Amino acid sequence: MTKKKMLAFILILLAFVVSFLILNRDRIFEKKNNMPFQISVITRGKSTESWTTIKQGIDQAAKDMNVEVSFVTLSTENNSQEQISLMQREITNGANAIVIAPANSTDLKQPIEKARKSIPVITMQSTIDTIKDLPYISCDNYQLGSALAEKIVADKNTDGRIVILRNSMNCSNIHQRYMGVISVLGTVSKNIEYWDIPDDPQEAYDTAKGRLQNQKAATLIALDGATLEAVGKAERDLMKSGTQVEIYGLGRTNTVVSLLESQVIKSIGVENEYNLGYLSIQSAVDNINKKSNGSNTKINFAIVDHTNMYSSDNQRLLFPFVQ
Amino acid sequence: MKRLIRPIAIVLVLITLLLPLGACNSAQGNGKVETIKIGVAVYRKDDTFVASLCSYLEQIAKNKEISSGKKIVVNIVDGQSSQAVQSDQVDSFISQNYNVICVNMVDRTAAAVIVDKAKAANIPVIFFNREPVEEDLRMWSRAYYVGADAAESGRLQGETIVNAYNKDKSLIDKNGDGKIQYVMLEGEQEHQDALLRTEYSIKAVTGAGIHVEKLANDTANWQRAQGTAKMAQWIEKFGDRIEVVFSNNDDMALGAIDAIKESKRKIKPIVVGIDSTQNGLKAIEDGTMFATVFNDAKAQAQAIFDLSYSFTSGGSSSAAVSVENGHYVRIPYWAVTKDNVEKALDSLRQ
Repeated sequence: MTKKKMLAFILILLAFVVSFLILNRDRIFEKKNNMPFQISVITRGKSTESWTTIKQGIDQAAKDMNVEVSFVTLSTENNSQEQISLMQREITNGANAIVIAPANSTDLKQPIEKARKSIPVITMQSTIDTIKDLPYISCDNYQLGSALAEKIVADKNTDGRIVILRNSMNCSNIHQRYMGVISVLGTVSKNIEYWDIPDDPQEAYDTAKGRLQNQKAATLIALDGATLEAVGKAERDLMKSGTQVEIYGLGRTNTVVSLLESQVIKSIGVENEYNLGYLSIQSAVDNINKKSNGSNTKINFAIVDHTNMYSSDNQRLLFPFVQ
Repeated sequence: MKRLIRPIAIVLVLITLLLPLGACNSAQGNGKVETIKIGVAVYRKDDTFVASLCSYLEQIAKNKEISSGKKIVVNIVDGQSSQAVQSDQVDSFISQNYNVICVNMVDRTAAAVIVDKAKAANIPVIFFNREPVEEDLRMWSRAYYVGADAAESGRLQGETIVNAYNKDKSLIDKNGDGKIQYVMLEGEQEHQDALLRTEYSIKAVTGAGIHVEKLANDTANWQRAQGTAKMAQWIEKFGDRIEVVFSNNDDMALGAIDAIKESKRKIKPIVVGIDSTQNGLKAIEDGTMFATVFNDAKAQAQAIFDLSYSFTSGGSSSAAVSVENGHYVRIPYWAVTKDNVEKALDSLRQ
């Protein structure tokens, strides 16, 4: 090959490279900056109405921060094995971060530790206490539980039989709420019992209804929104036949709010679910960008009854449409 | 050196030629699970019927995800009764390369714009629950409508009154004047389903040779609270003269029942709805609502999903569901009274 031929060849080669770069400039240069982060949010149960408000916060954050969110639900409630396999699938599929509400503190520990080696993992609602520096977005569930218990004391509903409805106790937030409730009620009442409520909404309703009919209770306390809805509906349907029980609980669904308004439910403790969703995505983005300050984020909460449910602050918590 | 130049030149040329291919294909491989993204934009998430349809759609997708091993994302977004919000949501689905977009429109006249955008991005679009005009659907071969024939629901609603009248006149024509005095609770103004249900329910009654007298009609926007407010006004105005309350859906019918209960009148009008929501069927069970029409949310959700899945798996839409005139999937209605309310409740439970 002569020098001239070689020069011609190099020029052609350069032309190829330049044209390749020009044709793919979006892909290589600009789009890299605009490419949305892929964040997967993994719930600890089915897609139920109780996630509606959290999802609104997630959607808003996704819009504000140029994030593409995969909202991943389970086929059954609190199925930790399914949650683990879905988390692995999302990582394999290229998620930049995972936001997860761990179904079980024990089973999820090792998989989350392993996942954190490749991408940021943020926990919301519940967490794994034994993993150091695991980002966690939630309200102070212990304070939430004790604030509700103080409301029960203030309402003078501690004299009769108090029943705590147990469900998902392996979740750290439910456990913390329980500890908060007991820290207050344990000192003022010796008459505390427990009913175990199943995960499935229909089974939860049937169980609550059966227990209400057969076992007299003065005060019921539900530790999560789904259980509160089930027992509230059961009480509403039984009211015609004369049962009457004071129902307190933590968490909100539209039905819970409606039952609070009609005074079937006496009082609820509710965290700012919209902020919970929004801040979870924000924390995930900060962690991807390595801008996280490492501290956990606490969400505000309020104890609400039918007398103060329409105050402007409480309306924001109960009716997220007005956010 | 000269001997080396030729092989190096060949390798460099090959690399240069293959570079673009690598760029095109970089997203595949690495054990990734195939992802199907279905975007669903609804006019209001708190509409009882739409909410139950979406809930079925999520369940069906979850079951398919398990059986197929694919990742199926069903992203349901709420238009909050604003066409501007919904249009943004559809744009967002398009920009994020969703495989299928399903739209329950806020404003049915916006369908043409949505079809145009979807066509430009080559993303199939499925309208549901609110039917676009035929011309808009015909703009593109990959635009579909899944729903039911609104006229049929009105006809079936009217027929429940005709059957009851023929069985026992005094049950319906309480004042015995040979005419049915009725009020009509309508969905939104200009909503096609509302117009057709209103028209055909009364046509079914008059077509059977029964005389009717309309006392009042008004829109209550498909909502229970508004149904209660309208009915309370009519009870105040017409008192016991109201014999039948026709309602374009169950939520408004339940609202009318709330107002009737509140009024504590001894003579209660017959109330008929459409949709067969859980609460509507409960009202039939306890006798406060006379009849409704089963609008099969589950079958509609199944049809929407089957169509969506067929687009992503390379199958033909007509093999997945029965498509009429290239664009329409119609799910039949059936009337529900106290006689067959158990069957309807069973259908909801399945």
